[in-house]
Amino acid sequence: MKQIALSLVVVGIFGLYAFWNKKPETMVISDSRPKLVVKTKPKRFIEDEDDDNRPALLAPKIIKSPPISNKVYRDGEYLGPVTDALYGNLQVKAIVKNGLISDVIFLDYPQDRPTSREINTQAMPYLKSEAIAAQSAQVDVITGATQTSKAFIESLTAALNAAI
Amino acid sequence: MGMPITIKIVGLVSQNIFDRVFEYFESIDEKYSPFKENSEVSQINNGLTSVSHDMNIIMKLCKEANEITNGYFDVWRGGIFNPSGLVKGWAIKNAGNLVRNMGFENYFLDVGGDIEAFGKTWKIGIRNPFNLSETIKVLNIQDGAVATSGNYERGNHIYNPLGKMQNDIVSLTVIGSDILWADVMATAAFAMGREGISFIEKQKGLEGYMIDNKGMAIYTSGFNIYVG
Repeated sequence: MKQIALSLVVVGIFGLYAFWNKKPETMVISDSRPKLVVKTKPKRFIEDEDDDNRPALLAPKIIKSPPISNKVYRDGEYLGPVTDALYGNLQVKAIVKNGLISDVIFLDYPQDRPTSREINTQAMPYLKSEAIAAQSAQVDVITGATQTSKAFIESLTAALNAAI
Repeated sequence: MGMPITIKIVGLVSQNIFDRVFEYFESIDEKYSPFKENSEVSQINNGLTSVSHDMNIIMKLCKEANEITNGYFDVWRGGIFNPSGLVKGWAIKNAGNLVRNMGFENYFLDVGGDIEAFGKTWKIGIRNPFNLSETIKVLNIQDGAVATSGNYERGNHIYNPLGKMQNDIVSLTVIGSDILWADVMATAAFAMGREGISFIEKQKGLEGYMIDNKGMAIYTSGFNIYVG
């Protein structure tokens, strides 16, 4: 979970960075209000730049949450500008709910060449997490477990032990 | 193959169509089961060196699968050749071609929870590994495939050829355009343990949903496109 939390922080930083650098004409929004206000400039991207001249946008080395106040943003979907990420273009969309960033989606990021792909899959906080929950919808067919087994019971036992 | 097969075809379908598809799966079992003495797989394990055209294709696919999964997908275990993990997806794919060649465009084929779904948008549920009567996700799949790997299915059938099996992942579902590769990648990613979902994220055209033994899911960036 720590990893996930850190990933979310990095997603937030990327999102903020993209918007901080945005040009006004690139805003395309379901919410017509134009500005996304960020009170704290994410200076950290400059400060954290590595000695090996690695672009800070691709791989911020120190992952800390910038001091951002709650309720800074207006609700809506915000498309960031296409920015040059050295190895290719990068573009994100942020979704703000209740004044907070609820999701940042990478619409484009460098992935053509193997080198840039490798760099980005390490730097990009791409995975998401949730607790599983039952759904009531009708389905045509089901993938997954077809029967219980010893391994399943062992796994469940381990889970329950961890929950104590 | 010792697993349930479900076929649904939309349209005016005669029993004959279903019979042909089931006959195909039976022929696959006869030819590729490592548990049948006269199967080609058994004969290879007994020293047969001249293989059939189809077996040659399967062996090439197995080699390719081994390479793109960095060795995590391996049909050779202790010197014994067992390509079942690839043959299943390959057979589903071929059976799908058979159905389409008979003129049916709306169908799904489900072999032990690995599914190819064509034509209309089919709703495919991911079963809760902790409560088998529950569905935890509903996927909308059209002209695509979904495969799930987990140690709870049919016993401990997945092992990590590169080391000790990690056991904190309970289930890993992969969505892709091709059932053969969705199945192969789900098997390999599951064997990778926690790293498996990152491996799926790196594969173009694949999405994944991994569940750990605490009931937490980690999923790829494009997975929610399919959630309905």
